[in-house]
Amino acid sequence: MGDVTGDMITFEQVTCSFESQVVLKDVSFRVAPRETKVIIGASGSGKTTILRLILGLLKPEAGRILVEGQEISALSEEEMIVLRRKIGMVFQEGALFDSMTVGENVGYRLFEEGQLSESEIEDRVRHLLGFVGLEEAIDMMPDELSGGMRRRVAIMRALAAVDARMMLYDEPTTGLDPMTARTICDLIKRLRDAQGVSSVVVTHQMADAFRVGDRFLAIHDGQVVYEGTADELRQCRDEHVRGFLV
Amino acid sequence: MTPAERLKSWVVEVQSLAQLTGRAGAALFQRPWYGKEMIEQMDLLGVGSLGIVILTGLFAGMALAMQFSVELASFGAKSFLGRAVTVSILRELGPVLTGLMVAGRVCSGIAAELGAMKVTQQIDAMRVLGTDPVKRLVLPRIVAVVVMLPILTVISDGMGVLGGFFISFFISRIGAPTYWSEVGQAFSFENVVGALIKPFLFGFIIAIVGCDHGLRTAGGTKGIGAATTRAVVFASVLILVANFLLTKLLVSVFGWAT
Repeated sequence: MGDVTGDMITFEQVTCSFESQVVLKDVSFRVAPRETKVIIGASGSGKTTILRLILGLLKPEAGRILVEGQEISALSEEEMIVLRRKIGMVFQEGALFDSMTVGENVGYRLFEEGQLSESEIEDRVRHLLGFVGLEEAIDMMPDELSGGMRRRVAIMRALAAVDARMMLYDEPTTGLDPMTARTICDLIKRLRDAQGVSSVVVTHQMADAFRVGDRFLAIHDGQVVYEGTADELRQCRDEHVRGFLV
Repeated sequence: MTPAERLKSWVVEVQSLAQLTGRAGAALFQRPWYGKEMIEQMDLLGVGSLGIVILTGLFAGMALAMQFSVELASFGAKSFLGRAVTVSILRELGPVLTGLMVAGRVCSGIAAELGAMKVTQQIDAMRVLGTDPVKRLVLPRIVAVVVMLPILTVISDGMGVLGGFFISFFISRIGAPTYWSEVGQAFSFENVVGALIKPFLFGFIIAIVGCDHGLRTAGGTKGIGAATTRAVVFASVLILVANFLLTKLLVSVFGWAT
Protein backbone atom coordinates (compact mmCIF):
# COMPACT_ATOMS: atom_id res chain seq x y z
CA MET A 1 0.00 0.00 0.00
CA GLY A 2 1.42 3.38 -0.99
CA ASP A 3 0.31 6.91 -0.15
CA VAL A 4 -2.37 8.81 -2.13
CA THR A 5 0.12 9.16 -4.97
CA GLY A 6 0.95 5.45 -4.70
CA ASP A 7 4.56 6.16 -3.71
CA MET A 8 6.52 3.95 -1.32
CA ILE A 9 8.78 6.75 -0.07
CA THR A 10 8.19 10.50 -0.22
CA PHE A 11 10.58 13.26 0.82
CA GLU A 12 9.07 16.75 0.98
CA GLN A 13 11.41 19.69 1.53
CA VAL A 14 13.51 17.73 4.02
CA THR A 15 16.28 19.55 5.84
CA CYS A 16 18.70 17.85 8.22
CA SER A 17 21.78 19.14 9.99
CA PHE A 18 24.35 17.96 12.51
CA GLU A 19 25.03 20.70 15.05
CA SER A 20 25.76 23.73 12.86
CA GLN A 21 26.45 21.83 9.61
CA VAL A 22 23.55 21.50 7.18
CA VAL A 23 23.74 18.04 5.60
CA LEU A 24 20.51 18.08 3.56
CA LYS A 25 18.61 21.16 2.45
CA ASP A 26 15.05 21.12 1.02
CA VAL A 27 15.42 17.64 -0.45
CA SER A 28 12.31 16.33 -2.23
CA PHE A 29 11.83 13.11 -4.19
CA ARG A 30 9.58 10.08 -4.48
CA VAL A 31 10.14 6.36 -4.90
CA ALA A 32 7.36 4.51 -6.75
CA PRO A 33 6.41 0.86 -6.16
CA ARG A 34 8.80 -1.59 -7.91
CA GLU A 35 11.13 1.30 -8.68
CA THR A 36 14.86 1.30 -8.01
CA LYS A 37 16.02 4.81 -7.31
CA VAL A 38 19.76 5.40 -7.36
CA ILE A 39 21.18 8.28 -5.37
CA ILE A 40 24.56 9.47 -6.59
CA GLY A 41 26.86 12.08 -5.13
CA ALA A 42 30.33 12.64 -3.77
CA SER A 43 31.36 11.32 -0.36
CA GLY A 44 29.88 13.50 2.37
CA SER A 45 27.17 14.90 0.12
CA GLY A 46 24.38 13.51 2.32
CA LYS A 47 23.46 10.27 0.52
CA THR A 48 23.69 7.96 3.51
CA THR A 49 21.84 10.54 5.63
CA ILE A 50 18.84 10.07 3.32
CA LEU A 51 18.82 6.32 4.07
CA ARG A 52 19.14 6.97 7.81
CA LEU A 53 16.20 9.39 7.63
CA ILE A 54 14.03 6.84 5.81
CA LEU A 55 14.78 4.35 8.59
CA GLY A 56 14.08 6.89 11.33
CA LEU A 57 17.62 6.55 12.67
CA LEU A 58 17.77 10.34 12.28
CA LYS A 59 15.00 12.90 12.53
CA PRO A 60 14.69 15.77 10.01
CA GLU A 61 14.80 19.34 11.19
CA ALA A 62 12.20 20.39 8.67
CA GLY A 63 10.06 18.79 5.98
CA ARG A 64 8.06 15.57 5.81
CA ILE A 65 9.09 11.97 5.17
CA LEU A 66 6.40 9.46 4.26
CA VAL A 67 6.91 5.71 4.08
CA GLU A 68 3.96 3.95 2.45
CA GLY A 69 1.92 7.05 3.10
CA GLN A 70 2.71 7.21 6.81
CA GLU A 71 4.58 10.24 8.04
CA ILE A 72 7.48 8.98 10.10
CA SER A 73 9.02 12.20 11.43
CA ALA A 74 6.92 12.18 14.59
CA LEU A 75 6.95 8.42 15.26
CA SER A 76 8.46 7.09 18.47
CA GLU A 77 11.29 4.51 18.44
CA GLU A 78 8.75 1.75 19.31
CA GLU A 79 6.54 2.76 16.36
CA MET A 80 9.57 2.94 14.09
CA ILE A 81 10.57 -0.61 15.09
CA VAL A 82 7.22 -1.81 13.71
CA LEU A 83 7.60 0.25 10.52
CA ARG A 84 11.18 -0.93 9.96
CA ARG A 85 9.88 -4.48 9.53
CA LYS A 86 8.76 -3.37 6.04
CA ILE A 87 12.19 -2.00 5.15
CA GLY A 88 15.37 -3.98 4.59
CA MET A 89 18.69 -2.19 4.88
CA VAL A 90 22.06 -3.29 3.57
CA PHE A 91 24.76 -1.28 5.27
CA GLN A 92 28.07 -0.31 3.78
CA GLU A 93 30.46 -3.21 4.59
CA GLY A 94 27.43 -5.28 5.62
CA ALA A 95 27.40 -4.42 9.35
CA LEU A 96 27.07 -8.13 10.17
CA PHE A 97 27.08 -9.00 13.87
CA ASP A 98 30.64 -10.20 14.29
CA SER A 99 29.92 -12.36 17.34
CA MET A 100 27.34 -14.44 15.44
CA THR A 101 27.64 -16.99 12.66
CA VAL A 102 26.38 -16.30 9.16
CA GLY A 103 23.29 -18.40 9.90
CA GLU A 104 22.58 -16.51 13.13
CA ASN A 105 23.00 -13.21 11.29
CA VAL A 106 20.58 -14.13 8.52
CA GLY A 107 18.07 -15.62 10.95
CA TYR A 108 18.52 -12.83 13.52
CA ARG A 109 15.05 -11.35 13.23
CA LEU A 110 13.41 -14.77 13.12
CA PHE A 111 15.22 -15.83 16.31
CA GLU A 112 14.17 -12.55 17.95
CA GLU A 113 10.50 -12.98 17.03
CA GLY A 114 10.53 -16.52 18.40
CA GLN A 115 7.56 -17.61 16.29
CA LEU A 116 9.38 -20.35 14.38
CA SER A 117 11.19 -23.39 15.73
CA GLU A 118 14.98 -23.55 15.39
CA SER A 119 14.73 -26.14 12.63
CA GLU A 120 12.22 -24.00 10.71
CA ILE A 121 14.52 -21.00 11.02
CA GLU A 122 17.48 -23.05 9.85
CA ASP A 123 15.52 -24.25 6.81
CA ARG A 124 14.55 -20.68 5.96
CA VAL A 125 18.11 -19.44 6.45
CA ARG A 126 19.53 -22.24 4.29
CA HIS A 127 16.99 -21.41 1.58
CA LEU A 128 17.95 -17.73 1.64
CA LEU A 129 21.67 -18.47 1.65
CA GLY A 130 21.16 -20.90 -1.20
CA PHE A 131 19.59 -18.04 -3.17
CA VAL A 132 22.99 -16.29 -3.17
CA GLY A 133 25.12 -19.44 -3.31
CA LEU A 134 26.31 -19.26 0.29
CA GLU A 135 24.58 -22.25 1.89
CA GLU A 136 27.95 -23.76 2.79
CA ALA A 137 28.88 -20.63 4.77
CA ILE A 138 26.05 -21.00 7.29
CA ASP A 139 28.36 -21.87 10.21
CA MET A 140 31.15 -19.47 9.30
CA MET A 141 31.87 -16.25 11.21
CA PRO A 142 31.66 -12.91 9.35
CA ASP A 143 35.42 -12.30 9.58
CA GLU A 144 35.99 -15.49 7.57
CA LEU A 145 34.02 -14.08 4.62
CA SER A 146 35.22 -11.98 1.70
CA GLY A 147 33.75 -8.52 1.12
CA GLY A 148 31.37 -9.79 -1.55
CA MET A 149 30.19 -12.69 0.59
CA ARG A 150 29.57 -10.32 3.51
CA ARG A 151 27.50 -8.05 1.28
CA ARG A 152 25.42 -11.01 0.02
CA VAL A 153 24.84 -12.26 3.57
CA ALA A 154 23.79 -8.73 4.57
CA ILE A 155 21.24 -8.62 1.75
CA MET A 156 19.80 -11.96 2.84
CA ARG A 157 19.69 -10.85 6.47
CA ALA A 158 17.71 -7.80 5.41
CA LEU A 159 15.36 -9.94 3.30
CA ALA A 160 14.80 -12.48 6.07
CA ALA A 161 13.91 -9.70 8.47
CA VAL A 162 11.20 -8.00 6.46
CA ASP A 163 8.41 -8.88 4.12
CA ALA A 164 10.57 -7.45 1.36
CA ARG A 165 8.55 -4.38 0.35
CA MET A 166 11.44 -1.95 0.34
CA MET A 167 15.20 -2.33 0.34
CA LEU A 168 17.80 0.32 1.02
CA TYR A 169 21.40 -0.27 -0.08
CA ASP A 170 24.31 1.84 1.13
CA GLU A 171 27.23 1.53 -1.32
CA PRO A 172 26.45 -2.15 -2.00
CA THR A 173 29.26 -2.63 -4.52
CA THR A 174 31.96 -0.28 -3.27
CA GLY A 175 35.29 -2.03 -2.84
CA LEU A 176 34.20 -5.20 -4.65
CA ASP A 177 35.74 -6.69 -7.78
CA PRO A 178 33.68 -6.26 -11.01
CA MET A 179 32.42 -9.87 -11.02
CA THR A 180 31.18 -9.72 -7.43
CA ALA A 181 29.71 -6.26 -7.99
CA ARG A 182 27.78 -7.62 -10.98
CA THR A 183 26.45 -10.49 -8.81
CA ILE A 184 25.18 -8.00 -6.24
CA CYS A 185 23.58 -5.85 -8.97
CA ASP A 186 21.88 -8.89 -10.47
CA LEU A 187 20.53 -9.76 -7.04
CA ILE A 188 19.09 -6.25 -6.58
CA LYS A 189 17.42 -6.48 -10.01
CA ARG A 190 16.14 -9.98 -9.29
CA LEU A 191 14.46 -8.77 -6.09
CA ARG A 192 12.73 -5.97 -8.00
CA ASP A 193 11.61 -8.15 -10.90
CA ALA A 194 10.70 -11.32 -9.01
CA GLN A 195 9.34 -9.89 -5.78
CA GLY A 196 8.34 -6.34 -6.74
CA VAL A 197 10.66 -4.78 -4.18
CA SER A 198 11.16 -0.99 -4.29
CA SER A 199 14.77 0.02 -3.69
CA VAL A 200 16.91 3.01 -2.92
CA VAL A 201 20.56 2.45 -3.84
CA VAL A 202 23.21 4.89 -2.69
CA THR A 203 26.38 4.60 -4.74
CA HIS A 204 29.06 6.43 -6.62
CA GLN A 205 29.86 3.43 -8.82
CA MET A 206 28.24 4.70 -12.03
CA ALA A 207 28.48 1.41 -13.97
CA ASP A 208 26.57 -0.35 -11.18
CA ALA A 209 24.16 2.58 -10.87
CA PHE A 210 23.15 2.27 -14.55
CA ARG A 211 22.92 -1.50 -14.18
CA VAL A 212 20.30 -1.39 -11.40
CA GLY A 213 18.68 2.05 -11.54
CA ASP A 214 15.27 3.03 -12.94
CA ARG A 215 15.50 6.64 -11.84
CA PHE A 216 18.39 8.71 -10.55
CA LEU A 217 18.85 11.43 -7.99
CA ALA A 218 22.07 13.44 -7.80
CA ILE A 219 22.98 15.18 -4.56
CA HIS A 220 25.59 17.90 -4.18
CA ASP A 221 26.31 19.65 -0.89
CA GLY A 222 23.04 18.35 0.55
CA GLN A 223 20.85 19.59 -2.30
CA VAL A 224 19.20 17.77 -5.20
CA VAL A 225 20.88 18.88 -8.43
CA TYR A 226 19.27 16.32 -10.72
CA GLU A 227 16.40 13.84 -10.84
CA GLY A 228 15.38 11.74 -13.84
CA THR A 229 15.94 8.61 -15.91
CA ALA A 230 19.23 7.08 -17.05
CA ASP A 231 18.91 8.61 -20.54
CA GLU A 232 18.14 12.04 -19.12
CA LEU A 233 21.06 11.68 -16.74
CA ARG A 234 23.45 11.06 -19.64
CA GLN A 235 22.21 14.29 -21.29
CA CYS A 236 22.42 16.31 -18.08
CA ARG A 237 24.54 19.48 -18.34
CA ASP A 238 24.98 20.09 -14.59
CA GLU A 239 28.70 20.26 -13.91
CA HIS A 240 28.47 18.18 -10.70
CA VAL A 241 26.55 15.43 -12.51
CA ARG A 242 28.90 15.56 -15.51
CA GLY A 243 31.78 15.05 -13.08
CA PHE A 244 30.30 11.68 -12.16
CA LEU A 245 29.62 10.58 -15.71
CA VAL A 246 33.08 11.29 -17.08
CA MET B 1 39.37 23.13 26.29
CA THR B 2 38.14 26.15 28.27
CA PRO B 3 36.65 25.67 31.75
CA ALA B 4 33.20 26.49 30.34
CA GLU B 5 33.56 23.85 27.61
CA ARG B 6 34.81 21.32 30.14
CA LEU B 7 31.84 22.03 32.41
CA LYS B 8 29.47 21.69 29.45
CA SER B 9 30.99 18.34 28.49
CA TRP B 10 30.53 17.06 32.06
CA VAL B 11 26.90 18.22 32.07
CA VAL B 12 26.36 16.44 28.72
CA GLU B 13 28.04 13.34 30.16
CA VAL B 14 25.78 13.29 33.22
CA GLN B 15 22.70 14.01 31.11
CA SER B 16 23.54 11.13 28.78
CA LEU B 17 24.08 8.79 31.74
CA ALA B 18 20.75 9.84 33.25
CA GLN B 19 18.92 9.24 29.96
CA LEU B 20 20.48 5.81 29.49
CA THR B 21 19.68 4.93 33.10
CA GLY B 22 16.05 5.90 32.51
CA ARG B 23 15.83 3.83 29.32
CA ALA B 24 17.49 0.83 30.96
CA GLY B 25 15.14 1.16 33.94
CA ALA B 26 12.13 1.16 31.62
CA ALA B 27 13.55 -1.82 29.68
CA LEU B 28 13.69 -3.79 32.94
CA PHE B 29 9.87 -3.91 32.94
CA GLN B 30 9.34 -4.63 29.25
CA ARG B 31 9.67 -7.87 27.30
CA PRO B 32 11.74 -9.32 25.81
CA TRP B 33 14.31 -9.97 28.52
CA TYR B 34 17.51 -11.46 27.24
CA GLY B 35 18.16 -14.04 29.98
CA LYS B 36 20.68 -16.03 27.96
CA GLU B 37 22.60 -12.84 27.20
CA MET B 38 22.60 -11.95 30.92
CA ILE B 39 24.03 -15.35 31.88
CA GLU B 40 26.70 -15.04 29.17
CA GLN B 41 27.65 -11.59 30.42
CA MET B 42 27.79 -12.80 34.04
CA ASP B 43 30.25 -15.46 32.93
CA LEU B 44 32.26 -13.13 30.72
CA LEU B 45 32.36 -10.08 32.99
CA GLY B 46 32.04 -11.74 36.39
CA VAL B 47 33.71 -15.14 36.28
CA GLY B 48 36.29 -13.71 33.88
CA SER B 49 37.31 -11.15 36.53
CA LEU B 50 37.83 -13.77 39.24
CA GLY B 51 41.60 -14.11 38.81
CA ILE B 52 42.34 -10.41 39.01
CA VAL B 53 40.03 -9.99 42.01
CA ILE B 54 41.64 -12.88 43.93
CA LEU B 55 45.12 -11.48 43.38
CA THR B 56 44.05 -7.94 44.26
CA GLY B 57 42.36 -9.03 47.48
CA LEU B 58 45.21 -11.31 48.56
CA PHE B 59 48.03 -8.83 48.06
CA ALA B 60 46.06 -5.87 49.40
CA GLY B 61 45.26 -7.87 52.55
CA MET B 62 48.92 -8.86 53.02
CA ALA B 63 50.17 -5.30 52.55
CA LEU B 64 47.53 -3.95 54.91
CA ALA B 65 48.39 -6.54 57.56
CA MET B 66 52.07 -5.66 57.37
CA GLN B 67 51.36 -1.94 57.83
CA PHE B 68 48.92 -2.52 60.69
CA SER B 69 51.26 -5.01 62.36
CA VAL B 70 53.99 -2.38 62.69
CA GLU B 71 51.63 0.31 64.02
CA LEU B 72 49.71 -1.97 66.39
CA ALA B 73 52.96 -3.39 67.79
CA SER B 74 53.98 0.11 68.92
CA PHE B 75 50.79 0.20 71.04
CA GLY B 76 51.22 -3.39 72.21
CA ALA B 77 47.98 -4.22 70.37
CA LYS B 78 49.22 -6.68 67.78
CA SER B 79 46.59 -9.18 68.80
CA PHE B 80 43.93 -6.90 67.27
CA LEU B 81 45.49 -7.28 63.83
CA GLY B 82 42.74 -9.58 62.54
CA ARG B 83 40.01 -7.11 63.46
CA ALA B 84 41.86 -4.10 62.03
CA VAL B 85 42.53 -5.84 58.74
CA THR B 86 38.99 -7.20 58.41
CA VAL B 87 37.24 -3.92 59.23
CA SER B 88 39.43 -2.03 56.76
CA ILE B 89 38.79 -4.58 54.05
CA LEU B 90 35.05 -4.94 54.63
CA ARG B 91 34.30 -1.25 54.92
CA GLU B 92 36.65 0.30 52.35
CA LEU B 93 39.48 -1.57 50.72
CA GLY B 94 37.52 -4.56 49.45
CA PRO B 95 34.65 -2.73 47.71
CA VAL B 96 36.77 0.14 46.38
CA LEU B 97 39.74 -1.90 45.16
CA THR B 98 37.51 -4.54 43.61
CA GLY B 99 35.37 -1.83 42.03
CA LEU B 100 38.39 -0.08 40.56
CA MET B 101 39.96 -3.30 39.29
CA VAL B 102 36.71 -4.46 37.72
CA ALA B 103 36.19 -0.97 36.29
CA GLY B 104 39.59 -1.25 34.59
CA ARG B 105 38.78 -4.63 33.10
CA VAL B 106 35.03 -4.64 32.56
CA CYS B 107 34.16 -0.99 31.92
CA SER B 108 36.87 -0.75 29.26
CA GLY B 109 35.72 -4.05 27.74
CA ILE B 110 32.09 -2.93 27.55
CA ALA B 111 33.00 0.47 26.09
CA ALA B 112 35.33 -1.10 23.51
CA GLU B 113 32.84 -3.79 22.48
CA LEU B 114 29.86 -1.47 22.13
CA GLY B 115 32.08 1.20 20.59
CA ALA B 116 33.28 -1.23 17.92
CA MET B 117 29.67 -2.23 17.26
CA LYS B 118 28.73 1.43 16.94
CA VAL B 119 31.45 2.41 14.47
CA THR B 120 30.84 -0.68 12.33
CA GLN B 121 27.11 0.19 12.24
CA GLN B 122 26.11 -3.01 14.06
CA ILE B 123 24.07 -0.95 16.56
CA ASP B 124 22.19 0.71 13.68
CA ALA B 125 21.72 -2.71 12.06
CA MET B 126 20.23 -3.96 15.31
CA ARG B 127 17.76 -1.06 15.44
CA VAL B 128 16.86 -1.58 11.79
CA LEU B 129 16.23 -5.26 12.51
CA GLY B 130 13.75 -4.25 15.18
CA THR B 131 15.82 -4.73 18.33
CA ASP B 132 16.23 -2.08 21.00
CA PRO B 133 20.00 -1.99 21.77
CA VAL B 134 19.25 -0.90 25.34
CA LYS B 135 17.29 -4.10 25.94
CA ARG B 136 19.65 -6.38 24.08
CA LEU B 137 23.04 -4.90 24.99
CA VAL B 138 22.80 -2.48 27.90
CA LEU B 139 20.38 -4.15 30.33
CA PRO B 140 22.09 -7.58 30.32
CA ARG B 141 25.44 -5.92 31.05
CA ILE B 142 24.02 -3.84 33.90
CA VAL B 143 22.32 -6.87 35.46
CA ALA B 144 25.46 -8.98 35.02
CA VAL B 145 27.83 -6.49 36.67
CA VAL B 146 25.38 -5.52 39.44
CA VAL B 147 24.90 -9.20 40.32
CA MET B 148 28.53 -10.26 39.95
CA LEU B 149 30.41 -7.37 41.59
CA PRO B 150 29.06 -8.06 45.12
CA ILE B 151 30.03 -11.72 44.69
CA LEU B 152 33.50 -10.73 43.47
CA THR B 153 33.82 -8.30 46.36
CA VAL B 154 32.98 -11.02 48.90
CA ILE B 155 35.65 -13.24 47.30
CA SER B 156 38.14 -10.38 47.30
CA ASP B 157 37.35 -9.61 50.96
CA GLY B 158 37.85 -13.26 51.84
CA MET B 159 41.20 -13.35 50.06
CA GLY B 160 42.24 -10.12 51.79
CA VAL B 161 41.47 -11.55 55.23
CA LEU B 162 43.34 -14.73 54.27
CA GLY B 163 46.32 -12.65 53.08
CA GLY B 164 46.24 -10.83 56.40
CA PHE B 165 46.36 -14.19 58.17
CA PHE B 166 49.47 -15.25 56.24
CA ILE B 167 51.31 -12.11 57.39
CA SER B 168 49.91 -12.37 60.89
CA PHE B 169 50.91 -16.03 61.29
CA PHE B 170 54.23 -16.24 59.42
CA ILE B 171 55.69 -12.76 59.98
CA SER B 172 53.98 -11.13 62.96
CA ARG B 173 53.85 -14.46 64.82
CA ILE B 174 50.26 -14.08 65.98
CA GLY B 175 48.52 -17.36 66.70
CA ALA B 176 45.81 -18.51 64.33
CA PRO B 177 43.06 -18.68 67.04
CA THR B 178 43.79 -15.09 68.08
CA TYR B 179 43.70 -13.82 64.49
CA TRP B 180 40.51 -15.64 63.49
CA SER B 181 38.79 -14.74 66.73
CA GLU B 182 39.43 -11.04 66.01
CA VAL B 183 38.26 -11.52 62.42
CA GLY B 184 34.99 -12.92 63.79
CA GLN B 185 34.58 -9.84 66.00
CA ALA B 186 34.77 -7.62 62.91
CA PHE B 187 31.86 -9.36 61.22
CA SER B 188 29.22 -7.10 62.74
CA PHE B 189 25.89 -6.39 61.00
CA GLU B 190 26.99 -2.84 60.13
CA ASN B 191 30.27 -3.93 58.57
CA VAL B 192 28.67 -6.67 56.52
CA VAL B 193 25.88 -4.37 55.29
CA GLY B 194 28.44 -1.72 54.43
CA ALA B 195 30.52 -4.28 52.58
CA LEU B 196 27.58 -5.46 50.49
CA ILE B 197 25.79 -2.20 49.66
CA LYS B 198 28.74 -0.51 47.99
CA PRO B 199 29.44 -3.12 45.28
CA PHE B 200 25.85 -2.92 44.00
CA LEU B 201 26.23 0.79 43.35
CA PHE B 202 29.76 0.42 41.98
CA GLY B 203 28.60 -2.36 39.66
CA PHE B 204 25.86 -0.15 38.29
CA ILE B 205 28.32 2.71 37.76
CA ILE B 206 30.78 0.44 35.91
CA ALA B 207 28.14 -0.98 33.57
CA ILE B 208 26.22 2.20 32.80
CA VAL B 209 29.36 4.27 32.17
CA GLY B 210 30.87 1.58 29.93
CA CYS B 211 27.65 1.21 27.93
CA ASP B 212 27.06 4.95 27.65
CA HIS B 213 30.57 5.70 26.38
CA GLY B 214 30.45 2.72 24.04
CA LEU B 215 27.12 3.75 22.51
CA ARG B 216 28.34 7.33 22.04
CA THR B 217 31.56 6.31 20.30
CA ALA B 218 32.36 8.16 17.10
CA GLY B 219 35.42 8.46 14.92
CA GLY B 220 36.55 4.94 14.03
CA THR B 221 39.23 2.99 15.87
CA LYS B 222 40.71 6.16 17.36
CA GLY B 223 37.28 6.94 18.76
CA ILE B 224 37.04 3.49 20.33
CA GLY B 225 40.36 4.02 22.12
CA ALA B 226 39.28 7.44 23.37
CA ALA B 227 35.87 6.18 24.51
CA THR B 228 37.48 3.28 26.39
CA THR B 229 39.92 5.52 28.21
CA ARG B 230 37.25 8.08 29.05
CA ALA B 231 34.92 5.36 30.32
CA VAL B 232 37.50 3.90 32.72
CA VAL B 233 38.55 7.32 34.05
CA PHE B 234 34.95 8.48 34.47
CA ALA B 235 33.84 5.24 36.14
CA SER B 236 36.84 5.26 38.51
CA VAL B 237 36.22 8.85 39.57
CA LEU B 238 32.50 8.16 40.03
CA ILE B 239 33.29 5.09 42.15
CA LEU B 240 35.55 7.12 44.43
CA VAL B 241 33.01 9.95 44.77
CA ALA B 242 30.15 7.50 45.33
CA ASN B 243 32.27 5.65 47.91
CA PHE B 244 32.78 8.84 49.88
CA LEU B 245 29.09 9.75 49.79
CA LEU B 246 28.00 6.24 50.69
CA THR B 247 30.53 6.04 53.52
CA LYS B 248 29.21 9.34 54.85
CA LEU B 249 25.68 7.92 54.70
CA LEU B 250 26.68 4.68 56.44
CA VAL B 251 28.52 6.58 59.15
CA SER B 252 25.36 8.60 59.80
CA VAL B 253 23.05 5.59 59.69
CA PHE B 254 25.14 3.27 61.86
CA GLY B 255 26.43 6.01 64.13
CA TRP B 256 30.08 5.13 63.69
CA ALA B 257 32.20 7.57 65.69
CA THR B 258 34.27 9.89 63.45
